Amino acid sequence: MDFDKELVKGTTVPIVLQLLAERQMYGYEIVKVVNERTDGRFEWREGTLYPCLHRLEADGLVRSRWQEAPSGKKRKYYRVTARGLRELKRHKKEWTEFAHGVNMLLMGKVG
Amino acid sequence: MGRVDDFVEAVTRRLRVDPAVHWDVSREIRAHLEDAAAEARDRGCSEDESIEAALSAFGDEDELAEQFWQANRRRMRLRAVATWAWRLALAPAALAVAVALCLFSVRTIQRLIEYLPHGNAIQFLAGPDPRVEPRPTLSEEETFLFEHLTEELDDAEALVARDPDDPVIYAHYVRLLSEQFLDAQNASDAELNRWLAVLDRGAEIEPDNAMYHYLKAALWMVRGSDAEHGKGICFEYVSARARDEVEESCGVRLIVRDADAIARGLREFYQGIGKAHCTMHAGDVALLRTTLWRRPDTLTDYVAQLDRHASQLMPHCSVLRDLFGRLPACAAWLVQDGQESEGTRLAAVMQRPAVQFGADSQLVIEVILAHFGISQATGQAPEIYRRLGLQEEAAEARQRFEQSQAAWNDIWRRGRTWDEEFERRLTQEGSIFAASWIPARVRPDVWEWNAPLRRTEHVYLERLALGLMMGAFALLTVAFGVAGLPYLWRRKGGEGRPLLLFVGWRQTALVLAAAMAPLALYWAWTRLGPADSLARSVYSGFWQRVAELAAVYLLALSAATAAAYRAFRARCAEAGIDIGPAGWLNPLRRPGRALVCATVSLAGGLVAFGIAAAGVGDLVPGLFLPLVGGTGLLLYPCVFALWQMRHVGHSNPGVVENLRSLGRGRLSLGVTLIALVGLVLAGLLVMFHAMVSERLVLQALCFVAAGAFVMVLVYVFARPAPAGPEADRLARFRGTALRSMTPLLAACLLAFALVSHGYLDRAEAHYLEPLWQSDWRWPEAIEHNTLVGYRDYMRELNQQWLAAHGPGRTTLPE
Repeated sequence: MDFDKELVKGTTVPIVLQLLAERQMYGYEIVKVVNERTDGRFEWREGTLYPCLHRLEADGLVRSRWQEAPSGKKRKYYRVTARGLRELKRHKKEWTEFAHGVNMLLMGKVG
Repeated sequence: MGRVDDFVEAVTRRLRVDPAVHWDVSREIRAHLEDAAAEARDRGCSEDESIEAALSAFGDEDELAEQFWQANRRRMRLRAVATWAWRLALAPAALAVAVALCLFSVRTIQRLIEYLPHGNAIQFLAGPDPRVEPRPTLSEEETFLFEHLTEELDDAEALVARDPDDPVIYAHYVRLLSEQFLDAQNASDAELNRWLAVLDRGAEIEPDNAMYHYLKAALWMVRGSDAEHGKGICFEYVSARARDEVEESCGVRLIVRDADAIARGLREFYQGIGKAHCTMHAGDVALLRTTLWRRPDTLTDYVAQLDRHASQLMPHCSVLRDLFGRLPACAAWLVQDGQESEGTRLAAVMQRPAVQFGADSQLVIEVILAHFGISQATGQAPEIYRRLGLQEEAAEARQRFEQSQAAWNDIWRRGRTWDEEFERRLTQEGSIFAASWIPARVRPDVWEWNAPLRRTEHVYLERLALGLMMGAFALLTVAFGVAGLPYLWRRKGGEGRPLLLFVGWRQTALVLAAAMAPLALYWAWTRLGPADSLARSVYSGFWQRVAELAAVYLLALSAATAAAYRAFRARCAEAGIDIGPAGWLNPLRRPGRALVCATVSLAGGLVAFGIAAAGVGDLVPGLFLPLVGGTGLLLYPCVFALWQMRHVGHSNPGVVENLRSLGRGRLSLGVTLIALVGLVLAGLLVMFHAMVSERLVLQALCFVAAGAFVMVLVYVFARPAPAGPEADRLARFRGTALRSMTPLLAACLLAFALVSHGYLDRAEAHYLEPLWQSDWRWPEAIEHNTLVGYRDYMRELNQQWLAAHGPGRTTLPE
């Protein structure tokens, strides 16, 4: 199922922050994990992830460093900062309220 | 992978303005595409198919190029500003700090060379241009006084105009005016009358002060006669200083040109002898000055004030000295001229001005002058009596002379027993100040008084030691800066893609902390240790402190280098550059190599010393330790780094290639500059060898040239050049490291200098403190007290006279 492009774009930041909150990852790894967990439903344009990561880094929500991956190659790993965690919490709360409102309107029910 | 490279280039082309960000992003995208293609290959795709799949999954290149630009635009702008500020301010500031500290060291060395061997304590401790600052809270009147209480006649006139009846201020003015009195023969009548009027006014202000009458007497005598020194009456006396040897002194012979002037002079003289006092208030003026000066916190301030005291002009002493010389000569002339009764009368009282002046003396020079006057008068009196045929009076006069000589010699004889102990203490504890201060040799209690000054002096010398150390550190910083320049220059025209990014502020802070830790420990040790740990001998303690600072310097340098290397290594590891085994630049982890390098460095210092000694003959022995130690210290980090580089892909290209590179002057600008300095100095030495009379300067020049020669030798035989396939990367790493080390070292240097100077400032003020709780704040007072026995003797003579003849009598009874 193809999601609306704008809808996917709007959720990229909280998804990335959530994944990085679990453990540090490099870009390709994030894409893989998203595809695995959603059975490929999101179909991200992979390249768009990196500008998003760079913006988050410039905002101080994530931090990066080059280090050796298990494959032995150098990869740029990202991890979330304390500020990033606060931002994630805010996103989650916003999403819950948004989803609640949309559900009430579209489905006529709560949850 | 040409397709991938084209794609990456297309996506990142707008980031090219910042090479570091461009490199970072390109590498990240390439790594992603490699992973995606590898996965496609694992699914069974062909090489081309897998690449196409990876690229199409990544997205549209134009759209991504815009997104990457938008995402990184702010970061690049900030970095551009930081780089601009770095280049514009930080690197030049670092070099400026280093150069300023180098100059400080040069001044230190200059002062050591110029003043220490000649024993000019004042100039050595206060510098060539001592300044005295006023107290911060002066009233308007006091400020006027501070500004005008100088040695200028105009200022003195202004003071008198403001306060015409103050005896001290008026005497100060007359003292400066009396500088012209010895030229009275050439003065016009108007000028002479003006001087006489000034002196009359002085006598009005202080009717019981004989000084104004004596100055008038001196004026008339100078006007009316010529004096031939050493051609008058001779007499023998026992020397006080030269171990009781009998010496001869000859007085003045008077050639009278105007007998009337002489008679007027004698009239003024007789007006003075009955007065109770005779002073020019020179000591009062000195004391008045000290109430206006800021209380000194440093030895330099204190010595600057001493210097001002010492430079207080004593023209009245010159005029009185002239009068004391002419009075016996005048008595002899009266006898020769047939005025025997006048001659007898004068011979009986001619020591009187010296006695009055000595009894009221406030400064040591006044006591010494009074002694001169009494010696001349009482020493020549017996011969005058003999010429008059008065044998009994002659014998009495000789007795009076011997009494006064005994009183004087007694002071110096008492000092002799203390002399040996003084020498022993001086060698043991050491003090330039005490060594150059005569009273310290004469009286043991002056040694005790001297203690705060000695301690302060040791702190001052520690500051000089610190200056030398700072110089070594600063030279190293400059060497790093200069050595990094060619890399900066080459990068300008190169690919513009740095292999290393700036290490980051956190890493910089770690490096600074690593450098500051040994310094902080040393500070704590000197601060919390026993108080006397600071007060050490000039001769042994000075170099001991240099050795301590050298050890701290090496430890700080090692720690800073190790921490800096760790930071670079972390950054290189991120960037995928192998720069050799961990800790290769850390002497703490390679103590064996560090020891060998230290030995090699000291050997380098010895070779330089040997060359310098061969060049200019015997070097001053005291220079051996500082010169060899200093050179070893400078060579050590270079030798260690050179040797260690062999373990990280560097090898020595050989002497011939090194010489070629030196000739081209491209590969190592630093060494080329050192070689040039050495050559220029050697050339100057050859040209001016005969002209430079100052041996120490010659030796210092020769040593620097020899040191440069040794450094070039080390370079030629041990230069490691990057080798192998990674040579270019290694060279770039070295360049980046050198560039980054310059501000780091300068920051360490600045912190070291500030901490040490702050500490030494407090130490100086702390040690000077007891001086202000003592009554003897000024050595002038101490010196005067040294001779206080003689002043008391003269007071007694004065009292006897006044008791016999009554105070206030203006003429001698017949």
